Amino acid sequence: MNWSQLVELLPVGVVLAAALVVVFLQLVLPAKERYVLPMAAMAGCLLGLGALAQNYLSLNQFLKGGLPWFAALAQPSGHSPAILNGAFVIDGFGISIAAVALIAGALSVLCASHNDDDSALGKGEYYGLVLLAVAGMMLLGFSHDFLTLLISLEIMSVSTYILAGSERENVRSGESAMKYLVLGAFSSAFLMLGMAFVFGATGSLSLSPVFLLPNDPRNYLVMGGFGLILVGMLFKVGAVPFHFWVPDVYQGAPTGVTGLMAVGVKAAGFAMVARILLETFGAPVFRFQWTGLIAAAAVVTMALGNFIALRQSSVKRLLAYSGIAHTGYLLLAFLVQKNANAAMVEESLRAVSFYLVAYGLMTLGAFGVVSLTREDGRTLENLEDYNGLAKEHPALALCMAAFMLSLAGLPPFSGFFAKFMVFRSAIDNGFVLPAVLGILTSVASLYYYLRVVLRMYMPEEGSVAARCQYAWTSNLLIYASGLGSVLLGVAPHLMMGMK
Amino acid sequence: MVPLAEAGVFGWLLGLFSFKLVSCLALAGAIFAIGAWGVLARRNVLVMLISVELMLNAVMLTFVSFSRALVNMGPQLSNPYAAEGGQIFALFIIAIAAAEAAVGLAIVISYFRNRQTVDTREIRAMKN
Repeated sequence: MNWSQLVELLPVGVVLAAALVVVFLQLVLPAKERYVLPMAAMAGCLLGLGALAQNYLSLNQFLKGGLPWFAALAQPSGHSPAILNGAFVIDGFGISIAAVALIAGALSVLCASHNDDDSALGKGEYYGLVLLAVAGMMLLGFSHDFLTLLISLEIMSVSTYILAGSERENVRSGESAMKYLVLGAFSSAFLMLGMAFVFGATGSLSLSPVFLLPNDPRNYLVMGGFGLILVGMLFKVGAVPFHFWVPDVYQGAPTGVTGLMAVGVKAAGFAMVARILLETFGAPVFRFQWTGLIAAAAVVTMALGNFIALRQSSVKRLLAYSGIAHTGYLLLAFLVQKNANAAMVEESLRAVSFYLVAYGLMTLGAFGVVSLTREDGRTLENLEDYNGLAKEHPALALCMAAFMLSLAGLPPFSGFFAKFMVFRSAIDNGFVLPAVLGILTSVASLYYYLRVVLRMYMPEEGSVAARCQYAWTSNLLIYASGLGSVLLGVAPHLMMGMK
Repeated sequence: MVPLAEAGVFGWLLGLFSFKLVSCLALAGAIFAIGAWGVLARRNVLVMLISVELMLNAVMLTFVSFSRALVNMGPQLSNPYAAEGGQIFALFIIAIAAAEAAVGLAIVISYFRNRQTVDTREIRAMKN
């Protein structure tokens, strides 16, 4: 075992260290100097991004000898030598997941930093827990072993359970935390039992492909284990039929935390899905058996998420159902045909990582805008509260409109290209019907996204004008995500490393 | 199992404790099912948390018994040391269960202070 390889996990180490520093500062700083806390947490996120960039550059050099710049993103599963006997690998896919997690953490920190009431939001432990959750997500992106996968998943989940309930005097926040906790722990138990079955059949905890002869009786054990793991994974990413916790948890949690859950937790969950589906159970004999299940889950998830979102009056709940629908689109990318070669699997992994980055930017921006529309320490989340936002805050409304159109999948925003990649990957692999249904539901989704835009630009007669807090830090992040959404939509090859 | 007449009372008792993978798995499955039923059917959040702990214990038992069975297979495995991973996994699950229990109780107490109830029929402030 080569301990010096641990240096490659420096980004995670930086974030963990920042978490400890923030909690310690909360103890020693007098109350009026607490404004340092969000700065320290932001510094942690930025240093983590810096260390991640360093990782990316060295990986790139390892794969292609320095040039071109996008080599590591063009082959997302190409990795440098595994760390700690294969417990972790650093590859382009993991790096993009970790980047999404860090940006989501930064948004959570900023959303709480302009919170002036007396709840646990905006205290040291809040920032510490955000950073811990981010560290868990990053580790989940890199882990390559059932043990490290589970530990990082739990670091992430337990921190988010607490964060969801961090508005202690708000009944909804407590309810959200309680539902998330019970259902999250319940689903982890299924995941763990599935891991136990696979371990029993193969005698190894590694995520490397399961290989058994077709007539081996242990195949039944692997099938059972796979079913249990699938239940646990679909729970974590919020796919139908295990989606029922999503709307309540997203609506009740403080908006910054909802952003972290909708983006970071989902990206980390899909990192787990990608590793387990495409690698551990990626052998053609298994793939033949799960593609049908995943296709069914994807179609039902897209349809249900979009159609329930049509009649939501709360923007947070609307975004929660839209998140469920996007889970469905993302699942389409995993539909790889039975006799696909390595290049096609690589292509679908690339579609997943592009979708997660694009979806992450637009959803973070949208939740950023939602977190700013507050009054007297209370988040205004109903559609009516967005009446005439364009008149009061033109730049914010413009960004919100961009995020909504991007989520709907209109060009020239990143959402269009993300959906295009996913649908093309499904059609290339012969899953035409799920892809066509995906396109149809995504046209239907235009209705509810446009409702938000219409409210902002054409307020109803006699309505109260929108009220919005101003915080330059959050605004900066929202503008940056808006710019990113446009940039990835206009020049997607920046992230695809091709064409 | 060796008949009582052949093994003698002492040997028969030892035989009761000898390792049987199938019986361990059956026990684990039963505990897991009881836990899952508890989470789905009971209405008190505290009881639901206890049921989750029960499920985690069943998972631990599964890991430990598989690990024992695999170690017994020993030389037939490509990497005989990997089988010890099950024992390590069980240790980590203990830590995870402890963390979840601590956080869960804290969340339940914090909710109880606001609402004076932890009955799932009363917990529905949010609706479509």
